[in-house]
Amino acid sequence: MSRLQLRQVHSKYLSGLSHEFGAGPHWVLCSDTATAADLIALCAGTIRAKRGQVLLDDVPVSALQYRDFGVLPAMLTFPQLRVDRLMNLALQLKGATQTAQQLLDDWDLGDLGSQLAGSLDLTSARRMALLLALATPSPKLLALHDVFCLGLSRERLLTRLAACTDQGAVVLLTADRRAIDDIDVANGGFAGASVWVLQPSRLIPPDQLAKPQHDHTTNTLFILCSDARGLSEQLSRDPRIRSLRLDERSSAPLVEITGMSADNLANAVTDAALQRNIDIRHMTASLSPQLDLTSIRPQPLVGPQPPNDGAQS
Amino acid sequence: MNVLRSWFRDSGFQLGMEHVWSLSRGRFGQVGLGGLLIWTVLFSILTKQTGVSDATTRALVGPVFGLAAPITLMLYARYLGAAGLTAVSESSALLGVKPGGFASGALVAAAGCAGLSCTLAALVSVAFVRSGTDPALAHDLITSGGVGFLGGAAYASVFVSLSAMNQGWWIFSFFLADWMLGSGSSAWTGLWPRAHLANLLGAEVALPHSFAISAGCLWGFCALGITIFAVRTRW
Repeated sequence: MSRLQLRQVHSKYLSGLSHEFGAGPHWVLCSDTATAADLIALCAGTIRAKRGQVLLDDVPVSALQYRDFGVLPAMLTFPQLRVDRLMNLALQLKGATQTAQQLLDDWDLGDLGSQLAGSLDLTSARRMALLLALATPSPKLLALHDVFCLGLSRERLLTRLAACTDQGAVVLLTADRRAIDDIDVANGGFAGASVWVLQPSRLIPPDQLAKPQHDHTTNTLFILCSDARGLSEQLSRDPRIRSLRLDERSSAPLVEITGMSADNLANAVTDAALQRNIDIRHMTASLSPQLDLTSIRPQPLVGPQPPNDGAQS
Repeated sequence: MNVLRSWFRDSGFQLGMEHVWSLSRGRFGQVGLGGLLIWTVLFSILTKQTGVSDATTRALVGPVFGLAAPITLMLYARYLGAAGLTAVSESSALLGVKPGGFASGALVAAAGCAGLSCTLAALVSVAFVRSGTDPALAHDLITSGGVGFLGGAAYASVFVSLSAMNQGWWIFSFFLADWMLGSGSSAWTGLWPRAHLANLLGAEVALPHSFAISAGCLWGFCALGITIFAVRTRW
């Protein structure tokens, strides 16, 4: 059974954090992407703490072998080489038996193989990184950020993550604090996942968190459109969007975005919809429980009529 | 040999080289090389028309390696920086290779591409500007080409390593300092690649160094640039 220890860790966003994660799944909710990315990078050993230690099974994470861990960071850029070539190299170093094309086909991403990895958009690059992380045959640690926001099969992800926890791995999942619904879903697939809220110097259970003051600086928009996945992919690259969540549980997928300014959010949605030829059916700042999303008729607010070749993925 | 091949691949060195080669042979590389050669031809012809006795040296030291090559390589370094060379090096850990190894390979490839481009520029300049008083053609081509490679590699190593720290200002500052101080006659002249390059090309500079020392200094700039970049990317 693996064990991840943080001992008085100081970094750009952490001040003396000490905590121990045992084998199994752990959710860590962060106030923003930068903090989550910092934690993921520290735990995976891709950056060094200014002070303190991060140990996996009493060994510094910087000394980990590549075949022992899998990591999905928030931001990444790959070299300007073919995806399948890079993935084959990485899979070989991990000791995995699958080839890149097999792995991509398994996850319905077969057309990614022939593309240049350096030219991929952030979502596709993160998908590539996630597949590599999940392909680790016997991981001791999986450190994954926003793993359910990439449009991959949630059930398959849960199955694979559960298999890793059964092998005794530490599975660390970071997410925005508003991703509480994802945790409810995930806990349906995990046995006893612990949930923590990250503060600069400690991790606390959510029920110990003081009720937050109303955040006047954050605005939220819920969008119902003809291609929720396409819209979320386009918006994921927009700097005006602070956080993004794609809810595909119902037959009417919903995109939830937050940001500093309602005007900026609306403009970002408009720009994204125009670029991708997506019809926006409904956009609201709050979801009424009485609102039946499936009954909303398509009434394009922006952009031309959608083509009949099926824009949805 | 197999051990060396495995290290070459697993350390990320090979990946880094392939990444930069893939970027360099694209449209930017073609335009940059074309611009460098056109400038070289133009100013080599102009220098020859002045009728000076050491036209080859003047053309190489002045327009070619004094201006055209450093400016082209500055833009090349900015291009690689804008393509996220540091971020790509750090992300290479996700592929199981060492970021420092990747960064080293990338910088070696950048230096190599720059060196080859400057070799070509030097050969073209010699072909257009040489006169009857110059050494034998073969000797001239080999010497100028070799010096051109060394100069291009040195400049590229320094500029690309500076791009890892700050994309614009530091690179331009280095170029400016190299231009002003590298052509002087003070004690600080020997700190700049321009002075050693001019020494190797036979210009009248106040450097008391032999050719071997100047060549060694330029190799030193290459090694320094690679080391800085690899360390910056956290080996």
